[in-house]
Amino acid sequence: MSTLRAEGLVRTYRGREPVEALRSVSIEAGDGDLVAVLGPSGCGKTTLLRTLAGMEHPDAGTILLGDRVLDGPGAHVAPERRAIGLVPQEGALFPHLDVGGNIAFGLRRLSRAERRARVATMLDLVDLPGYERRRPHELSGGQQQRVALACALAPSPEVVLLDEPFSALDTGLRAALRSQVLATLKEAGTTSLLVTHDQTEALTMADTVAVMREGRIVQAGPPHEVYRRPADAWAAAFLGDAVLLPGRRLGPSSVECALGTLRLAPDFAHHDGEEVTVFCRPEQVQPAAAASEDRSATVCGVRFTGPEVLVELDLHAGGTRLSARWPSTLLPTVGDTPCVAVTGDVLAYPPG
Amino acid sequence: MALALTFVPLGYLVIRATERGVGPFMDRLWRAGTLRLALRSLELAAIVTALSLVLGVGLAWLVTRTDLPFRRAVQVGLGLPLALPSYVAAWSWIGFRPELAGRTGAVLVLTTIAYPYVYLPVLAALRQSDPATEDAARSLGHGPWSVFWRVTLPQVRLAATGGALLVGLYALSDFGAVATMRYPVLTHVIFRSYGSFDRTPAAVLGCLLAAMTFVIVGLEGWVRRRGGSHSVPAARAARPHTVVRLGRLRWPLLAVPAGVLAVCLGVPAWGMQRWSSRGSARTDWGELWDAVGNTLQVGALGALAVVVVATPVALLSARHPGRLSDLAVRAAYAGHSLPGVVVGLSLVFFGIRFATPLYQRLPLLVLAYVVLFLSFGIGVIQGAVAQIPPVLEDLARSLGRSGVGAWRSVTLRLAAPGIGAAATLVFLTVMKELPATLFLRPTGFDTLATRLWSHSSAFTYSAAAPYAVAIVLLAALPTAALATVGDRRSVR
Repeated sequence: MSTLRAEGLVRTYRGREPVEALRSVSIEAGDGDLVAVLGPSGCGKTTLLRTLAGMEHPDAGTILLGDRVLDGPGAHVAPERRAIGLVPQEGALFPHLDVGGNIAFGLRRLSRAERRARVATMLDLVDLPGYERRRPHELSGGQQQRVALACALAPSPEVVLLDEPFSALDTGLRAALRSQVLATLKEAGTTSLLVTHDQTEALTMADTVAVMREGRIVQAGPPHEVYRRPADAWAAAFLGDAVLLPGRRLGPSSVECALGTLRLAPDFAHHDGEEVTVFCRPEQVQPAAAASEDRSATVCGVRFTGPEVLVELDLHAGGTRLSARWPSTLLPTVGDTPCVAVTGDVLAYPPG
Repeated sequence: MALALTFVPLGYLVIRATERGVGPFMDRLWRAGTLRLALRSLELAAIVTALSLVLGVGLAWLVTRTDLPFRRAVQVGLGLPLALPSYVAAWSWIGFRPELAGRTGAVLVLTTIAYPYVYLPVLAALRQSDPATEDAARSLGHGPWSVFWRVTLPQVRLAATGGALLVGLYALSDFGAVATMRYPVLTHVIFRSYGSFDRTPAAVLGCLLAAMTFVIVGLEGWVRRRGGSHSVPAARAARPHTVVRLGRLRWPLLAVPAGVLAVCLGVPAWGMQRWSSRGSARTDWGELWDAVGNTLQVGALGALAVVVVATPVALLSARHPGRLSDLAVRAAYAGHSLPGVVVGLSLVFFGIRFATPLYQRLPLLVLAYVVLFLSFGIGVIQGAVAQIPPVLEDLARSLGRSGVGAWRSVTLRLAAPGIGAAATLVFLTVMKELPATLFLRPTGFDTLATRLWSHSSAFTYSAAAPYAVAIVLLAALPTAALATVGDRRSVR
């Protein structure tokens, strides 16, 4: 059982102005799962990672791996005894060792022959067979990243931590590498925790996304859940483009705003007051045949992205401006006056 | 440990200076003559430092960033003046142009042998900096001149300030050159007063000199902090730097380093040649070989001891900067700035009083070298450690190495070239060191430097010449090695 569980982690950096990097963080990564910790820079996610790895001592809280206590009152397991691997930012490698030496770095207990076999297996796993004798500076960025992953996985750790592993790579390479790394991690069956500020990365790779803000986990859940049902307006805007409109609560399951009367999602803690902020995603705002409930709008901007178009709309009712995401087959031109309707449920947040 | 090493001589100095009470101490300190001496020392140090900065940075840029002919040979050659002991250079210049005696001569000699302290670290920094920043600046519309001022120079600032500090301290604490040039600055006067019956004035002036160096070291720290670290080491693939084409100036500009070398090395070479050809004294080869052996022995012991003490201090101050490590580094610089005479004599006093079995034995001499040259070790090793990304240590720990194990298998391994460079630098400097060796060597134990001193004090220049040649030849090899540190083409 390699479930990594942290409860109530607190870490404050003392100084003239103390920085509360972690304020009671609880997070769980189930056996074989990939959890993405998503947050803006400075939210404490790197501190969380370093604390889980054992480089930082938490001021309070516990860290459990299975039923083994890694950190707790009076307990601290040294980083080298945790069986937690680390893939550092930009895939840093030991520059004085070749690729084989880097991968074998964590394999001291094995015999020479076993070590060589393990290095070859790991290189196969990351699809770089025969690269043993290359030097780190001879590799491309993506290759360095894959070798870094192989290094971390070589000693068969129970958990792997990845620190913004793809941030330095170009977009095309990033997408390809993401799926490759994901496949490798799943194949190895390792519990993993990925720290990132890239929403797409978190949403496409993770089994669970934990949104972090100012030293707290704001929300954790499956990617579609956190994307479709963000806990608050900040999380909604952080996870992707958001349509946020002022509205009025009509009853337990409906709300009224510039887009008409809309249905509230069931099983969500909507704001209880009369005045609310209504939230939906731009892809929920779709063109519709003219009808009494629908709202007409003027297209005031079109951004073509290939498969989709981002449309800036000026709603005639109340002069509200919002964005919508349509399939690019429906490409409008500026000045068109389509009618729009919301598909699916919406959420209600406190006004403001 | 490092702290204690420096505070023994410093403490002795203060005790000696104030043993007649604070009144006489202050009297001595506030005399007009004292002030004039201090100002003269500072002036000398300032001029030499400024000239060395211009020379060191300019030459380092010329040999790394342009298509100058014979770049690689020139790169190594320009570091060689470091091999010259200041007294050898000074004697040669006096023989060449006797009218140079005084300030001009002191400035000339000190600059020609001290500028490598700036040149070598700047050379290394220029080789290690990320070429991408300079290329980016060119693409943003800056010409070579503008790139030099706005991009290259800020990146080597740290290396240059560190080097300038060493030059300043060297100029302040040098004895050989100023004595030969008969230019009365603090060290020179201190040495003369030590010979007299009343040693208190010397101790007072010693305190003043130590205080001045503390101020200079503090000033350097302030410049360093204010500027922050601008050096961007290339973490990734090493690409060659874009070279500035000199065009028609290519060959004429070669005259600049050639001229510098002619002045810095040519004159001393000419001087040594003149002595040896003029003299009638026969060389005692057995004596010469003994001296060579002894010189190598103290050089190696000194280098080893300094590296052993400096490495932990440098690691600590680079990774966990705090008050204690800061103080240790300051103390090391203060130790370096103390004139060899002061350290030598204070350890004689210390040895007689507290460590009689060690007195006039090698361990005490090696201790003096550690006090004097610890700063070299710390400075060079610190620079090397600062270039190692700390994440590599975390990585090693996550892969099962203990804290100490990670340092040993990663940090020390990566810092090895820097540690080697530090050892080489100390080895070189110990070989040239004169006053402390004179005081603390075991009876009958002669190094090249002490033989040279005794022969030239007796005005038997022709007998001294072979020792001068031997010392320069011995020192040339490690110096040449230092000039290639960080050269990418020589790495693999």
